Amino acid sequence: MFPWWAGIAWGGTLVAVPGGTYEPLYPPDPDRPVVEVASFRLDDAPVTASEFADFVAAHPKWRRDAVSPLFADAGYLSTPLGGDQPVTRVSWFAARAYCTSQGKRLPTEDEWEFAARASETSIDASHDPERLALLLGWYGQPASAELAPVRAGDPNVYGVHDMHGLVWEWVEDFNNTLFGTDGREGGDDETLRFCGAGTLSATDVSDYARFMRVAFRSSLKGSYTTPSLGFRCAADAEEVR
Amino acid sequence: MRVLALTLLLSCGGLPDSQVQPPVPLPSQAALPADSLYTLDLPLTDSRGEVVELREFRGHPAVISMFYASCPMACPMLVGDVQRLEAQLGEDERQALRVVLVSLDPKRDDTEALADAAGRYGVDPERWVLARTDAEHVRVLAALLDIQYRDLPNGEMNHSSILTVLDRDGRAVARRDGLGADNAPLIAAIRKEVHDE
Repeated sequence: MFPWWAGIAWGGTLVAVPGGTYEPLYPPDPDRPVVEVASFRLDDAPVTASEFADFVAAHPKWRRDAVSPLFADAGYLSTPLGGDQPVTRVSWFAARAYCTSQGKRLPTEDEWEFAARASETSIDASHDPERLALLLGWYGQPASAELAPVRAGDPNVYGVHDMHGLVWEWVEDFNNTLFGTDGREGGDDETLRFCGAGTLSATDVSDYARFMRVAFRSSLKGSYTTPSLGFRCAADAEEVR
Repeated sequence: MRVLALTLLLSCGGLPDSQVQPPVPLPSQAALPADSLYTLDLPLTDSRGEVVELREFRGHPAVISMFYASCPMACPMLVGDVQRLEAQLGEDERQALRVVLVSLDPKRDDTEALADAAGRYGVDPERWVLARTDAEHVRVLAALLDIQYRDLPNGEMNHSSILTVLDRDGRAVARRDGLGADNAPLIAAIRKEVHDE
C-alpha cells in the first residue's frame, strides 16, 4: 500500500529501519568496536534521474549551468537527466540539497552501512561468504555499463532496494575518516592519538567490499561528481506516540 | 595579566580598525567570483558573541581552518603553526592578514568557550576570529575546506589540520595539509595578495 502522500512527494519512499548495533570498519574508539545505530528511516531506492530533474526544475540554482563551482565540479549533471535510473554525476552538496528539499537528509555512514548488511532474508548477511563474493564481483564490474532502473531487484528485509549492485551512494559524513592526513601514522603514539590519529585499525578485513566503500568515500570531496555515484535520502525514526 | 590585556583590547574593539588599512581599496560593489567562499551564507558568531560574515574579510588575504576549543593537542599546534607563519611575514603583510578558525564542535563551543580559547592561544583579536556556526554549516564548511572530522566517544574529535589561504575575493588559492608542514606556499600566496595589484 502506498502512503497517502506518495503521489505528492518526490523520490523514494521512506521505510523504517529498526536500530541496533553494528561494528564499523573503523570504529571511532578501537576499544569499543560496537556502536549503536538508532532507529531511522531510509528511502527504499536511490533517487532517480527523473526525480532529480524535477528538483532541478524547482530549484534552478542547482541547474548544471547555474550551480556554484564550490558545490559541484565540471562533471555535474553532464549526463542528461531523465528516466528511472539512479541519478549520478551529483555532488554531495547537491544530494544534500535534494534531501533537504523533501524534508529529509542524507543517511549517516553508520546508518547506510547498517542497512546495507541486510539481505532479502536477514538483517545481517555481512558474514555470508557467497554474498561477499557477489558484492565483490559487482565492484569488479566496469562502471561504463548502462545503469539498470531502480527497484529492479528484490528488496532487502527492510523493503530497501539497490543498496548493492547499482551505484555508490553519498552519505552525510563521507568526510569522517582520516586517511593520508594526520591520521596516517596509526595508533601507536599517544601524542598522535590525541592529535586525531589511531583510527586506522580495521575490525573486519575480510569484508573487502566494505573496505572498498570506506576507501572510496574517503577519497571524495564534496564537489566531486562521478558516473557511478548517486544517493538516497533518510530521515529520523517517526516519533512514537 | 594576559586576560586583563585581552579584556582591554576587547573593550575598545572598534578603534584599531582605523589603523589597519586593507591592502587595497575594498571592491565592495564588484561581484564576487563564483568560486569565492564569500558567496556563502554562513552564519558565524565570534568569540565576542557578535555575528560575523565571512565576506567581511573581503579585501584581505585570509587563512581559514577549523578547530574546537577543548582540543588538547592538535588545535594548539595548528594555531602555533599559524602564529609561526605570521612571524615569517613582514609587518605590512601580517597586518593585512586575517585568520578565521571555525569550531567543529558547535555543541560545546559557545561564545565563552571561544573567548577562553582565544585567550589561551594569545591571538590578536583584531585580526583573528574564532567563531562558531550551527552543525549543519559545520559539515558544509568542512566539506568546502576538505577537512575530515568525526566525534570520538571520549569527547575529542578526529580532524585533519588543513590551512587554506583565501585571496582578497575569498577564493582558495593555497592549502597546507598536516601539522608542522611547510608554510612556504601559504606565505607566497599571502604576499602575492598583499603586494600584487
